[in-house]
Amino acid sequence: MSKNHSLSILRMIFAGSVDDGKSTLMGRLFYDAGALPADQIDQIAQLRTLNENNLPDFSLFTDGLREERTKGITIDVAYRYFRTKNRQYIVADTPGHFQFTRNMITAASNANLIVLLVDVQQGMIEQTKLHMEIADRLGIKHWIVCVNKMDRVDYHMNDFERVSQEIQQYASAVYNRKNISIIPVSALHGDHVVEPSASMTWYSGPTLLELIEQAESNENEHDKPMRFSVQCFYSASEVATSKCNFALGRIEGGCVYPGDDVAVWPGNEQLRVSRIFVGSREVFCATEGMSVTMQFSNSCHLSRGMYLWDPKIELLKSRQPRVTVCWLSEQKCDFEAVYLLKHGHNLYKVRIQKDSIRDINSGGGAKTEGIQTKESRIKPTKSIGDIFGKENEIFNVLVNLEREMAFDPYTMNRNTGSVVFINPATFETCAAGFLCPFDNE
Amino acid sequence: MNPIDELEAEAIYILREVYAQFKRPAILFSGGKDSIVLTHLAVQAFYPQKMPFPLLHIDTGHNFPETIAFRDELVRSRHFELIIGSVQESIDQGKATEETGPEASRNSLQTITLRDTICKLGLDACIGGGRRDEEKARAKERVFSHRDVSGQWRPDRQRPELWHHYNGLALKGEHFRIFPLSNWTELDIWSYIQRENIQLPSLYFAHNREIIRRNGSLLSVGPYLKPRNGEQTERLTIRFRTCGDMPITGAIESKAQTTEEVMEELKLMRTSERGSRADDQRSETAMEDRKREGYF
Repeated sequence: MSKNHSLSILRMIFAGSVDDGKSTLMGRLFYDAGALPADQIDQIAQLRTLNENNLPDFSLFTDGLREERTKGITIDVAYRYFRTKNRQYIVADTPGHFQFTRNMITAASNANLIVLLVDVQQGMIEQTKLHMEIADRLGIKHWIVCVNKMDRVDYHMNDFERVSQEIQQYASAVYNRKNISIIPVSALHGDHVVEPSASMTWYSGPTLLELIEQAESNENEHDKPMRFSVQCFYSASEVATSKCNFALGRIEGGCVYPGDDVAVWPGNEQLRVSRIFVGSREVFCATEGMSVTMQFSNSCHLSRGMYLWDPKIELLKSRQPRVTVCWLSEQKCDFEAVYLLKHGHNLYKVRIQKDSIRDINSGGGAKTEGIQTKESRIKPTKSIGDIFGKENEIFNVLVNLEREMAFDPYTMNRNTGSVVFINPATFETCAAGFLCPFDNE
Repeated sequence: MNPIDELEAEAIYILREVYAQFKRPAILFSGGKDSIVLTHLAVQAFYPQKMPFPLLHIDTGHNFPETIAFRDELVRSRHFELIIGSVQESIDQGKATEETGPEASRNSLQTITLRDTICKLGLDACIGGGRRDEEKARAKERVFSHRDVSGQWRPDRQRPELWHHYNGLALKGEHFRIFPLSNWTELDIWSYIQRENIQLPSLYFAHNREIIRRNGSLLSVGPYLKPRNGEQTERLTIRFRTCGDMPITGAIESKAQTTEEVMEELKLMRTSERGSRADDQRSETAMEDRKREGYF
């Protein structure tokens, strides 16, 4: 492996409304980057006639299910993989239909980069705003906007400028993102996808692939406080080959070295890490995302759901945390009913209570005044009467737990700051939740 | 983390979740490279404890003999528990009917035996080596993939799967298929095989074999596949990219004898891995149709 391949994987999503040409753009990117296998191209080419450029219909490349092909829509997230000389990518193509927003959230929850498509003839629409909202909530670091179908407006600069300004203004006002990358493309003809366009010489910026290649992967932020979640625990008596206790789990944030003292939640215990393994190989430092096996100098008895944490920076603890919820189920949120809440490896029985305080972690929202204040996002409050708990709705709640939970705010750590709600009758995942910081923080 | 470490960490995390969340999980072991890598990862995930999952092999009776020999040696040397579900038995019991005609295969019959075995053993999770880069229906499947009481996959009813919260809660009679290698590509699998020095059946490396050319595939001549009228057999130096049933697994001409040579070959390859699988070429949605019924 060349040293370039040691760059970590970049996870990205493509999002846009129906007919913005997402699948076509993805197919085109892969095709031009040489990452589309020949037999898959043949298979697609057999299905439909070639397009006006004598190229296969790329949208069929990600539309994998029968219904999608017959109806010409995308109904579920498709994952695709490609690699350049630089690094590896995992790409999720997300549905643009409103009722399928839950799939976009699913695909986007682990993404570091979003490619947002806007049709130059339509400009920004409600869907674009919703996708930005979700990208912001999820904490996706890099945003690239492709203003697509430039061929339909004869590649005129003015049309691009108009849409581009609209997007930049909105992103800056609502999300405090001053410099998002916006590029004019034609997915159909491949303009500015991988190769620069001869039809838009007025644009001298990078192509889509160049922008993607430049984005930093989520190289671990080692300055986050250390968090380790226990998935399984083996006491010495259970492990025939060894006289030690083992905790199996994942580093959810920060890093840990042998010799470090860690605190245990729940309880007041402190442990000293003695050795760390990845599988059968010993390591001398474990960082965020690593699945490790830990041994300790002290005797201890841990169990699934416990956290080991850096005693210098405490986990927040609460029996009534505030959560921003994105409701994903067709069945409305029932504010009288009991739900299951999954956080880390713990399952809580909870009741969900409407909460009027809005957007304490919204970043740019509170600072904004002027033309954008009509957006629901930056209303100072959303009154309880405005909360319906419908599919695709984002709202704030207080969650009443039967016992205390320990967490970090989502804005500080995705792993320890996210939850899902589960319907206890069907066991379906019905909502995603972002844990909020305490009021006084 | 480099990509392979990252994928390894993700797979180990998923395997530990299976162990913690389910009562009777098993690894679906085909003797192919993906299920061998999966088994290796399961060993790593629980080291130094014993690997906690039994291996379940759905045996069509049409396997390459090399696959079966490899399976038996692996199970013997590592003291794994092996459960065999036999397609022949399903046929003998009248549960499955052998296909007839020139393109007959036992591929789809496996689903019947698999569903039957899951039911008989009361398995609530079957861990498979499926990867999203293999096929377009698989590209849409969740890591924790829910199966209803009749064992069916409902692609339009998939549970949202967010962050690393894998929801394995199931009602009575439902089960899950779990895919820890979802995000691995063929090249990732080979990189890991190289790094971990994982042994594979000899079929994956260049060897001399008697084949016939049929519908663009190079198929192995053997007890389940004879030349038809007008077909010539030839001896070629080939290897297999996947190892399914003998009569439907196409070979590629190759001189790659080592893992390193295979990786070099793959980097130049412009066809996909399953491009030579006759079972996928039956129709545009062959995989989706089989998956809906409860296929791997």
